[in-house]
Amino acid sequence: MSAELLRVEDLVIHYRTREGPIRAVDDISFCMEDGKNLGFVGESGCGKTTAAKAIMKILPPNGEIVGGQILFRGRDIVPMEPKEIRQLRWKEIAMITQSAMNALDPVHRVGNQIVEAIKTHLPISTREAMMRVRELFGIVGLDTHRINDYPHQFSGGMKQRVIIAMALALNPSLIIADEPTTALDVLVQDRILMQLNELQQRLRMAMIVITHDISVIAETCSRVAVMYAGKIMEYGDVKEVFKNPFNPYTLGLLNAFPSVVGEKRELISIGGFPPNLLHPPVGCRFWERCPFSTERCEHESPPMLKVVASHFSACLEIHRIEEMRFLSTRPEIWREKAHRRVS
Amino acid sequence: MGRNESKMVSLNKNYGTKDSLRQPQLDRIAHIQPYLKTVWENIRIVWEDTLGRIGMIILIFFILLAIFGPLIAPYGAYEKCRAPDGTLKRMQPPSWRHPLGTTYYGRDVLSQVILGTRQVVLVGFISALMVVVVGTNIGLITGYYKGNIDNFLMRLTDIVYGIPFLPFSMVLISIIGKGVSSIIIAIVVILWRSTARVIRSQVLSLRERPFVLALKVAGASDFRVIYKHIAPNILPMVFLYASFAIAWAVAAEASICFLGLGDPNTISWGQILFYAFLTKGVNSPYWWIIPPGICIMLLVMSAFFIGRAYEKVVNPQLRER
Amino acid sequence: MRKFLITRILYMILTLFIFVTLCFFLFRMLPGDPTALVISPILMPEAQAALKAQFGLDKPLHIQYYLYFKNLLKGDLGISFIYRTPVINIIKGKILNTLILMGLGMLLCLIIGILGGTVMAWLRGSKLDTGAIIFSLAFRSTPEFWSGMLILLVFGYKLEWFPVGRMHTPGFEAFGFWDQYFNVDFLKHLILPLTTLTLYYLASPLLVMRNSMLEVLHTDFVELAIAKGLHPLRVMYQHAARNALLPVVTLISLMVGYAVGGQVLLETIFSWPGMGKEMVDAVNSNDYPMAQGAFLFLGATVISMNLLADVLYCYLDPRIQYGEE
Repeated sequence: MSAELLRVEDLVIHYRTREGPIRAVDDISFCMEDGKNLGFVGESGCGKTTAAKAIMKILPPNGEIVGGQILFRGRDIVPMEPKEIRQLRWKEIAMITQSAMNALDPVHRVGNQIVEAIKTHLPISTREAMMRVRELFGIVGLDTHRINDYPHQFSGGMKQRVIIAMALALNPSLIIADEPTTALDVLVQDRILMQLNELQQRLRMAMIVITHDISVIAETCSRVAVMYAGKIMEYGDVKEVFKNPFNPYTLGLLNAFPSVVGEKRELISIGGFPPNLLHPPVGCRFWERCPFSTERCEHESPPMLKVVASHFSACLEIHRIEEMRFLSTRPEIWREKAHRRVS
Repeated sequence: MGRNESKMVSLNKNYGTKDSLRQPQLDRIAHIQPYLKTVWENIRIVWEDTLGRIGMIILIFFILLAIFGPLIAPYGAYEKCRAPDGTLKRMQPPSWRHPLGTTYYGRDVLSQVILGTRQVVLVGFISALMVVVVGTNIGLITGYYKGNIDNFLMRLTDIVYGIPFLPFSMVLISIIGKGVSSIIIAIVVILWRSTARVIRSQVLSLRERPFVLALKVAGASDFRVIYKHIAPNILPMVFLYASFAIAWAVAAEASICFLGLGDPNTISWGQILFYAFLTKGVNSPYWWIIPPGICIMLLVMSAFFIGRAYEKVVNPQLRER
Repeated sequence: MRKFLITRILYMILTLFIFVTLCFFLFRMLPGDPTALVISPILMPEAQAALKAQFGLDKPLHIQYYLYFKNLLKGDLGISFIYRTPVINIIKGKILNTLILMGLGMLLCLIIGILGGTVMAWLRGSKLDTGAIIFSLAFRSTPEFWSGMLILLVFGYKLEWFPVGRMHTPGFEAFGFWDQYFNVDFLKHLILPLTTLTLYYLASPLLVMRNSMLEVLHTDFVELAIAKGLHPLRVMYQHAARNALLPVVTLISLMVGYAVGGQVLLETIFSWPGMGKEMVDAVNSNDYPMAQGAFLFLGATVISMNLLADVLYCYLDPRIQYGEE
């Protein structure tokens, strides 16, 4: 019996710049249940990190939540006062950052940094907090004798584990893992992912996993949201979305990733670049790079359509999905589109 | 570092290894022309910043004053002004004839200030130029080479850092005698150190870049690598420190002259203050001590403003979103 | 860490050694007879002969160099022409005056600079920020001898809020060496020169701290600190400022270097009886031993302060202390 943990409705986030607002996240909606993982996948700059940071309200100073609701256990985070948010942070929602290399303060000892997080939210003594730190180190597989070391004395993979330990410190209900493995080599990646899975099952946490690597999502998440240029293109169960994608962008993404099993095939990349979010296109954001787009796609923004139970896709040409699935495996389709764009 | 990346220079076509580098920003060949374009761009950057613009205007004003000073000044620098009845016009408050009053020796303050501009500007610019040339070269060499030359020059820099500037200048000028060139020598001999250190740290990081390694593999001589390829990339820093050097030099010149070590045959702002302090101590009349002080302040400030405006090029994080 | 310290101390000794050698040769280049460096014509012939022997003035250069060092290590810098007493005694009496004024000034600059720079970075672009930049740069551009003169003129002569120069009121009796510093009279005399000094040197730490903070505020660990739910003040000081002040510490060596030279000007204006004023007086009256002694001590102060700054940096940045794994 899982309760609803997080519900995001019609979220709009802008970045204020000299030249005007950048519409980084434009009207996205999704929800999460206790203990289940949601993956966000998409190209760099598609807004996934922005959306996640908004949940903790740690957007940079020029970032602004312009509209929508973020309901955490029923309470809307968007209008909350800073004091309330601070109580929520880390205790209920924690974060594992992208580059653990730089996420730890170089001038403070590692143990103290975790104790700091604990003591901010719980009225316990330093000694008790340190005991908890030792426990956490044990959970992530770090030597407890190294609690008083400084960050630069750890290797990359170990630093990542420290970050994970710190995130787990207060048993949060939700952990946002932003590119948790990008900066690591493949072997370490594998180990960390396994550990995350194991921990998550043991401690019943929900995770939002943000990555541009589909394989990570496939391994860790139960649901996935495919984002592009600030919008969600497709959203549903992981197995469903990857086996039966209902969106050209998802098709393109799947093509770009090699598979160990199956036939050897040419990797097909989607030509071109994401649109300028200062002046985003009026219609579908993907229309320029999409080999299946029509005139209508250029002018009309596709609504989120329910395809199957809890599987949604935003595409105007969704009725052509069988054709699209078949054609997308042909590299010529994508190459032609790239050429056509240029000329 | 993005800005610097875009200014990177490619190999000379003679090497023919352009393909092996495959860096999209390399398509300019290093020769004199791009330098000039860069200079104009730099002036434009400073001009666009409010404070930088003010600084430039003040600087240009003083340069003009230095050039045309002798034509404007109503009296000579050491000319004793006498009243119609022959008495010396000592310590007279500002009047129509003497808008800034007269000194204890009966000299016109306004003329002294105007004429003093020439020495200040001259010393300021020449010293700054030499400080930057010496400092940059030492920085380039110590940053690029590892080993004996590097160690020796580095130790030298450290030792020069241990020498207090003003006391040293006092001793040096006692040795080589008073004069404008002595002041310049005193300034240059010590103040190259900051530029050298900064340029060195820049070169240290540039040295590890792939394009340098590629150049070495292609057989470029050290001299070529340093002066044709690394140097253009540190130019922004050099310009920055050139403007700071002007500020330091003007302040140094004023301090040296204030201590009485200036050229007795010429006048400069610091020297005006020296005479004031010598004759009346701290309790000098306001018309005598305020004008030269304000001039020093304005000139140094303008150099700092220009430098600060320029810093945005060198350090992009300082720019506003 | 200990290895680092030992290397640094040895290095400082080497620098001092070279500096002293430089002094030796520099002062010998002064116009006139080298013996005039040591022997005042006023002294009796026997005293002159004794000094001549002690400093080996009739011996070849390298012997003189050796004797120079030997005397230096004994603490013998010769006899001042003007004071007729050993130079070292004068220095002993006055070095503290300089160090207290300079030391307090540097400390104030650092404190105000670090705290102020943090606030300025936080309130970037505001009137306070821009105002503080212009204010501190204006004072940095104003030669300290001039601002000193004006401050003294206004607050000393015209308003008569503070005494006009010197370290004590004439006729002041102290009950001991240390007692002369721990009283109100000293404080009253200290305020104006200290203010001038602090205002002049404030710009560097303030602006460096501000720039450093601006960089640090964008780092990942500051973002994480905010994400941990820490109070903004704690984030700003414990994490951001604590990291941002490292470049400011490297600035200390530079500041001290300039401040020591600046003491020359400041002490002249305020008639403050310190080593700076001593040097000026000595050079003006051709008191060579005194000038040399003063120069040596001023340089030694700079060099030892550089070492202290290095040690402080090492203490504050654990990456240096504990090395890389």
